[in-house]
Amino acid sequence: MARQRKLAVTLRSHPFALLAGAVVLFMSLSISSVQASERTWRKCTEFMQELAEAHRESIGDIEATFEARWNRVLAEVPEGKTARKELSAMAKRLRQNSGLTASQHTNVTRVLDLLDHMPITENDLEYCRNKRFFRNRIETFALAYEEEGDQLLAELEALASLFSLKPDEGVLIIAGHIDGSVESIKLDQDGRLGKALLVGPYRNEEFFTLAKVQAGPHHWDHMRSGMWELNLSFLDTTLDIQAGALNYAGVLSLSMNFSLASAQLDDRAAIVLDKMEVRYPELLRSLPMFNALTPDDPFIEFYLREKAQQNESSANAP
Amino acid sequence: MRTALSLTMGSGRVNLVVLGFMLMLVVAPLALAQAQNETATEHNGGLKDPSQLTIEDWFADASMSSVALSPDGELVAFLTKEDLQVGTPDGGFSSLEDFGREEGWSNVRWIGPKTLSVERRLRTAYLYAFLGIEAKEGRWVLARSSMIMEPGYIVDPLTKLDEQILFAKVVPENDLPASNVFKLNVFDELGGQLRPEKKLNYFTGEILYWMTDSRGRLTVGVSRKDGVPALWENRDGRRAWTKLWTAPKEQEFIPLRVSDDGKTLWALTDIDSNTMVAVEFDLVEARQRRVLYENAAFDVSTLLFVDGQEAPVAAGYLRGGLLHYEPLSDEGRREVERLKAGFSGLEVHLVDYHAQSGAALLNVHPTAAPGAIYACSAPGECDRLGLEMPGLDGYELAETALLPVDRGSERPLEAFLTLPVKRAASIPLVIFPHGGPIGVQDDRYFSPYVQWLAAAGYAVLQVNYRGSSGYGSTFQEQGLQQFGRAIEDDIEAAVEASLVAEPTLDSDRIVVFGSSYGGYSALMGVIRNPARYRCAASFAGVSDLHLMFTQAATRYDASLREAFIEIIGDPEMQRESLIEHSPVYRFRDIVRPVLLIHGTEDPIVDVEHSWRLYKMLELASADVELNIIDGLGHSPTPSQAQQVLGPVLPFFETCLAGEQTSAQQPAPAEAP
Repeated sequence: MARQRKLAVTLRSHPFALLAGAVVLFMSLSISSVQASERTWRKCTEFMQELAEAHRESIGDIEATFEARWNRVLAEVPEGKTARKELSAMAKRLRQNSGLTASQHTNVTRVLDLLDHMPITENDLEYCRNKRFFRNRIETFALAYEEEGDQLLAELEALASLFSLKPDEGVLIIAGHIDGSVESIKLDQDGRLGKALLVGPYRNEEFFTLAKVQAGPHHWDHMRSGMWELNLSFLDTTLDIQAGALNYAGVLSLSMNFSLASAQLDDRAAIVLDKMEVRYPELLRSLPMFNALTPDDPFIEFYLREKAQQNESSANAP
Repeated sequence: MRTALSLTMGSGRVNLVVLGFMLMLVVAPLALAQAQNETATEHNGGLKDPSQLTIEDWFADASMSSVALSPDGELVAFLTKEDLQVGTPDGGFSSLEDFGREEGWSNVRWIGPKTLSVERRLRTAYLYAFLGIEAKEGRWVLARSSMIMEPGYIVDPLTKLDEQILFAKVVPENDLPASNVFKLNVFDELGGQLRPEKKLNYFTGEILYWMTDSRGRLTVGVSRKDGVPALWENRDGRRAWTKLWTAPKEQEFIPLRVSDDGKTLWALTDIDSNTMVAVEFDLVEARQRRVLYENAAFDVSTLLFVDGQEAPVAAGYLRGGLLHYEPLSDEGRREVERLKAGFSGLEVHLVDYHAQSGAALLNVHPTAAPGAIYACSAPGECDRLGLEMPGLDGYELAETALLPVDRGSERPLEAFLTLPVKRAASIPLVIFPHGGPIGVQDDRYFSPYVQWLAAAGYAVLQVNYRGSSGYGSTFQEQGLQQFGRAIEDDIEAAVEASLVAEPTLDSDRIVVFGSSYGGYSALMGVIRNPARYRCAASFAGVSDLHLMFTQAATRYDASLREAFIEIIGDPEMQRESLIEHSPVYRFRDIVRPVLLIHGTEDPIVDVEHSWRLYKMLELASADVELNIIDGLGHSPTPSQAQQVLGPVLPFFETCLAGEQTSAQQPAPAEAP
């Protein structure tokens, strides 16, 4: 008790001593806090760099695998005529027009740029407190990039397969547009159970794709969206697929909104030819084109013949 | 046989026969004189230059349409773009929102003194809205409403029985459309009233159209099997309807009115004549009693009925591009004379009339101008309700003149030449062939297309070539399977006649523009006669005759295919001919600039037509411009007009800017 009283007396005698003590205490606490904060930032920066390195590594693996598969697909096209050359040209354009570049920007360049600079704000430190979550998040970018590449490879493989048709196979040009969404549209081969082709899903979009199918008569069977299914037999159209040819099959005009569904098959050969010239000119040069929708319609044959003559004249021009 | 189906557009006027059904003529000379004076004042002196008007002005949505007088003559209703207006000229009009043309509503009809119906066409049915109105705080408001969506039509609005109508519901009967009639109280639950056991007709076979007498009793049924019309009756109130008469062949027979004693039917037909004639049909003897009026050169298109007389008093027909009335009785003569005397120089059409009160609605206009609607409460007391197209009020419009075209031993053609308001010493000419080509005709009444071109300084030539309606079945049949052939000969003959008749026309500056068949004709014009035409603009034009049979609309519709075979030719039997007359396969013959305009949603001439020709012309490095318009159908709505027509005048100006050069004919393409 006596000591306590003495201290109280001392402090009362020296009022600045209390203030000085508080300042010292505050400063020591602050220094300690800054040192801790610096450690946190440094550790977080290190974590981000570690993630960036891992991401670079993943992307490197993905790209190496992609390139190997891409080249393998191109190499597997049978020799002969100009197939390999044509496919290479198509592959180049396919890649240029694909979403791979955009995906690379989103999932690689932008991610690495961020990781290289993070943490930028206090809020970013939160990511370092949830390292597992954030690591998983970064991995999803790599996965998305890989998936984009896989999709492109699948498209290339599908294209490449069109250069190696079996004697009883033809290429069906599937063109259309849909108002609403559809999970799948089914094409059946007449009299051949199980020989079906499913295309889709599509959602409020134009679609234009090529598929390898057995030669012979086919028909659109149905389209499905959730619990809804629209039987397409009312289209009452047989598509007579010719082997070894590109088969024009009209343009599907579909609507699938709630319970309202409709379908129509329009004869739009010029529009399809225009799209083929833009997207698949090499195939158009490599394979004959047949009108599987309205074989009596002379337009496709007329157009292609006139075009060939035109090209021939241009080539022979001095 | 006549084929009504056609590839048409706004420029062509479809046969007026059906319009005549509801038309009753009454004339109040004082009222008409007043209307004439007002209208004449508006169109004389101090008129503004129409070249200031934009495409939006010319093709503006009509400010009022479907004008109708209530059965007691008290109220007027009409549609605007935004709403349905109800009221009186004195008391003002109230808006019933959500029932404007913009929402797809049309055809205002009174079904009682305070009850209206409007209808909206859906893909496979009609949506009818029934609207009960009441006065509230000085305004007309919607008191109650109901709707019904059915494939069918209102047989009789039964205006004497408020809120009740006779409705025919269309049903399939042995693969043919037929209909059952129901009496509906429009504000009761409608579904239950349409149950089969409620129908008023029994054992009616294939009857599709029904006629009632003035008391709303079902009197005559009309069927049409394989194009052959037949009349049905249920004499003495027996339940079963029996076939009374069948036409000898596939011909037109348009019944318009039945007498209250059920013994007489007034109709238009061409069964025993080359032209449509007005006949009185004896329903007891089941035979034609007499011909009321026949014109050897022109089809009768309408009958006029005066209140208080069952029989028609005048027959109307288009001659020289204008509607003429031929009196059928002394009363009719007086009415027609009074009409003409009161309005010399102006067109007067009775829109609606109420006999007891003398209230009437009139449409009054100079020949080539849009109309002004007048509401007359009594003779001499008329108020102008409004102008159909107020945006054109005060502007000078071009006059359209009849141009007879001699064809040697064949009957002369009627063509119409419109000279621009501002006359240059040398006037460029636009050939503007109508669509169809079968069963459609041009006339001299207001056409926004013609006035728009004339305001831009062009003379405009329209031609009622062979195949056009209004000139008898022989003339119409002469146009069958004449795509690019005799029809084009007629158009070219009219062009030459116009150059002779009007020396100010510049024979070196002729362009051709059209839609649908008119677009095809434009393309064939530059193919057949590149020395005459400097360029062609085709909107919704046919370019490939074969494609008319493979496009979706035709592939899914056997009757349409049959009609096209009759109009165009058989794609199997006449394949080479179809190819020979298709611009797509004649692309190397197109050496003049071409503008192609087409909508992606055209259900009649698919957008593929313009794409095909574009692809071919692109191949030949020809001067071609393709304008594809998303969402556009076969003809533009007012809001689409600028998008469709905007490129046309600049295209003409460019193609006419250079010196006329003789077009070189290239080597023809090898036939496919």
